[in-house]
Amino acid sequence: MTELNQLADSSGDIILSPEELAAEHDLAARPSRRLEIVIAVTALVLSVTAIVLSQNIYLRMGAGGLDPKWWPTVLSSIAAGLSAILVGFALFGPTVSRGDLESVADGGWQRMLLALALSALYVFAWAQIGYIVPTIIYLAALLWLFGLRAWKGLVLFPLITTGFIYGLFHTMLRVPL
Amino acid sequence: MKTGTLFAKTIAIAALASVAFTASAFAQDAFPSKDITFVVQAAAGGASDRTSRAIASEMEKDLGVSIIVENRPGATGTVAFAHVAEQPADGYTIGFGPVEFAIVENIGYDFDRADFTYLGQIMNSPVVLAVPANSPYNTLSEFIEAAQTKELSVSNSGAASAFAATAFTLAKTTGAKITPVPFDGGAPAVAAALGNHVDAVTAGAGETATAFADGTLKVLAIFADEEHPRFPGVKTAKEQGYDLQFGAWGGVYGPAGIPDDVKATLEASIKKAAATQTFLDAITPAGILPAYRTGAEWEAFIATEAARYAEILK
Amino acid sequence: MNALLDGILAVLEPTVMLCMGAGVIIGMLVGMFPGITATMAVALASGFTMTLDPVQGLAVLLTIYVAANFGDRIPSILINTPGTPASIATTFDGYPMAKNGRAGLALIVSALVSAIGIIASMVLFAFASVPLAQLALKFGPSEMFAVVILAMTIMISISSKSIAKGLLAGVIGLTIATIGRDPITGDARFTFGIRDLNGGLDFIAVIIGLFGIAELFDQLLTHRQFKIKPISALGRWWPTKSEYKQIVKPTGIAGLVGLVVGIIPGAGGDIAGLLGWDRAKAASKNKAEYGKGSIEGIAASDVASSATLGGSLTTTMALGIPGDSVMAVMIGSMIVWGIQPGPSLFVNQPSLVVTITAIMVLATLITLAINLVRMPMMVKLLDMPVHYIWATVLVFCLVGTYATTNNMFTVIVMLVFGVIGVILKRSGIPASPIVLGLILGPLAESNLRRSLLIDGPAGLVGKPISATLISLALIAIVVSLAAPIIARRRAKQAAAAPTN
Repeated sequence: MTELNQLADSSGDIILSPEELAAEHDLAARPSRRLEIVIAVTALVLSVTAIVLSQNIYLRMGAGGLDPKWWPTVLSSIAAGLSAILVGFALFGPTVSRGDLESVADGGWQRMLLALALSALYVFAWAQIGYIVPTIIYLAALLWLFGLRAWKGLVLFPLITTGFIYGLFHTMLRVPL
Repeated sequence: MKTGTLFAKTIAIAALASVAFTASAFAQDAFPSKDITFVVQAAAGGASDRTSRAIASEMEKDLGVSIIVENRPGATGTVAFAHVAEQPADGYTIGFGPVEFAIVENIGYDFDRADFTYLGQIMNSPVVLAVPANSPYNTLSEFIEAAQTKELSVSNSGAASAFAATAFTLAKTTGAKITPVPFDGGAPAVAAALGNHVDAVTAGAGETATAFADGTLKVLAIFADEEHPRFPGVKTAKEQGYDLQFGAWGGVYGPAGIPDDVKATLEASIKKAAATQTFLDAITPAGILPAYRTGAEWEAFIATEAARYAEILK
Repeated sequence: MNALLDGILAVLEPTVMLCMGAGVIIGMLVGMFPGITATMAVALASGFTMTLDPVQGLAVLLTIYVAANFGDRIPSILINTPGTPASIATTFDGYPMAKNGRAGLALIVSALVSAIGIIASMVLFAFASVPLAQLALKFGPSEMFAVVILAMTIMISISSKSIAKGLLAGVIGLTIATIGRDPITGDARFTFGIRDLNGGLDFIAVIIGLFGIAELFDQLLTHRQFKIKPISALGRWWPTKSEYKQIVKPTGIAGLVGLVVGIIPGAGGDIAGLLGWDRAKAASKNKAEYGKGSIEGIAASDVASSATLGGSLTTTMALGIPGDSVMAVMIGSMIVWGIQPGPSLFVNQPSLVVTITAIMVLATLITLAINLVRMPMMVKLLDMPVHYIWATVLVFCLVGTYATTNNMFTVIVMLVFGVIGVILKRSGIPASPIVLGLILGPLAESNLRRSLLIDGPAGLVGKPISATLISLALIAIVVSLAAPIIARRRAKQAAAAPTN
């Protein structure tokens, strides 16, 4: 029961019922050795790439002492060393808890990737045709994606928010939106 | 016959609208007929921004339209230069062109001076060489002589700046052992000299004027043709036998291909604005001096400067 | 005595009070929106204040400066998005507190200690500016390098879960900070021919991405309908007596750290907040709580970063060297008004020094009062259904980032770092050491190379300040690496020993 007591302590005023606590536990992300290996190997590959790139920095004039290549080379070498240690941990160490991370919800990936795609599209459209129209469409699309179906909200909220931002940034702060 | 009258009205409105449209098309001849955008290559608050806002507000009075100042900082100003070059060459987008116009092409940036129309130089902030108050050197030649026997460090606001170039050139032309030390901006470079961490500093007049007035810095030389009102009694480098001029100058430019009549209107307006008392009052307290050149003169000047920086930065 | 009276009377003019009112409104607004910085607001406002008289103008600009520092904390606590680098450390404990349903308490404590920090630093400004400024000048490249090395030791303490992953994150931050132009020679590094990369990655875009967007994406991944997040639903506003007692020590320690860091030119509220948090943690009995929603943690980070305001004002006024980017803009305005900053200002115009102090203190008190009254309204915003909150946060992060440079590339950088951030978060690699690396990397490299240019290697160990700081850093590294090992050994012994 020590764990239970600790949880109750650290959460201050909130008193969680046992059912809620059980629910919390179910949501926690599970430790995974395979994931740890992937992370560590990716880090190793990236840091070795960085070492190679550092060597290829083009120098306009010969600098005495520490040249521009030196610092990136030092850093990427340290990164490679640390990643190698991580690879070791991942392969031979115990699987570590993933802290307070929650597991991915059903449809979570889809929701996140769609939000990202919408944002990328929005940035592109904004650069091409200007701020106002893309922002209204973007906000409405986001709200739809996040589960809002009431048409009043889908229309009014984007209009008001877009107008507010335009007033604050463009008119007051002279940001060329 | 309600629909008929409605139809007639619509036609009448359309006709009126088309007349108005053609009229406005003719009116375009009278530049300017809408707001002008003025692009600054630095963040709000610095010397470029201050000068730009001052000239823009004077040009506004002259041209009768609003001039909106936009800050587009980044990549030694080249983000702003590229942005202006891509805008339509109708005179409605202009910008502030700093000394980097002569420098960036020499340090590996994708930059072509032919991408721009030059409308006139408006200012110059001469480089000065200053030493801490307790320094043993009192003149430029004392400093150079000392540097011929031992290594002296000279801080500046950053690599490949007009200030770094001054120190490099001074070393090259006199054979002095001067180590230019680039800092992240003019203020830390001056602070390094005030704290005796370096032997001297090359900086703008604005950044050194305060410390000079307080007696914590001695200004040994000004790299300009004339003495500077903020540094009474300080001689130019030329007067001390070293014929070197360096400055952080600036002017107004636009994308290449601005029609001649529009260009003429803008040039005249810039010339007028740069001579107003309000403009002078806004820039001179910051150590910036008025320095007018016409568009053509400025373009030629940038070409000679670029050739000079190519030598120094090689 | 006359100077004191004159200085204070100048502030009590009705027009000056009006100017301060305008400053508070602008500053709070600016601080609350991520991306809009106090520098931007002060630069724009200085266009209008040019025609006012100096005291009125200073009232507007300084009040914006103060109020933005308060407002800055709000998005850090409520949506994990630091509006400026100065409130990075606020997210460490502020956001976890909000997630635990103690957002109100976090906001109130943050506002209280910020006020304490600013007022303490203004006392120093009023009484010791000139000698402190002389001390500030002692920090040259080798001393700065030593400070940065000392600050880097924080990487160990902010990566509590896995030291290897935390250090890796720190090195990632240091490495991506090298993107752009070399600080000494101007050579391009890792720019891959992309023009916009020449200036390096925009810092604010990276922190909004790594903290704000990554947290939002993580919520999109994990949010479940039936689970109600109690950010606004629960929580007291005012600390209890025992909580007040609890925050006295961290506030004192971190406040001192902030005051010292504030004097050092080139080190601002960001480094102070992180160092203050770290030192308070090291001295605390409840180390394990830090980073998980500790009231001590938020008190430490916010008092430390706020206590740098007076320090940057000190170097600005007593040396004419701007202590931060807001002060750089202020100097421009002051020169136009005919105020010449420098040591002589304190001799020739003592009443102006009193006026500046009075404006800063009064602005702090007004903003504090407004904060305490208005906070409940702010938190009520989070009562909105979650789809509105997500959409609003996303669009404000995008537009706010754009406003920092008016360049779409910066927005793209922000989104990319949002994606990187969520990947790292799911991988258990903490974001805060990355940001620390981004702040410290350029300072470390450039100051090391500068000091080698000036004096060679002897300069680093031969000067008393840098030698002391570097030895402190070495001690800190050894202690913080050894501490978990000792703790583990003790735990084993305790487990082995019979319990009663």
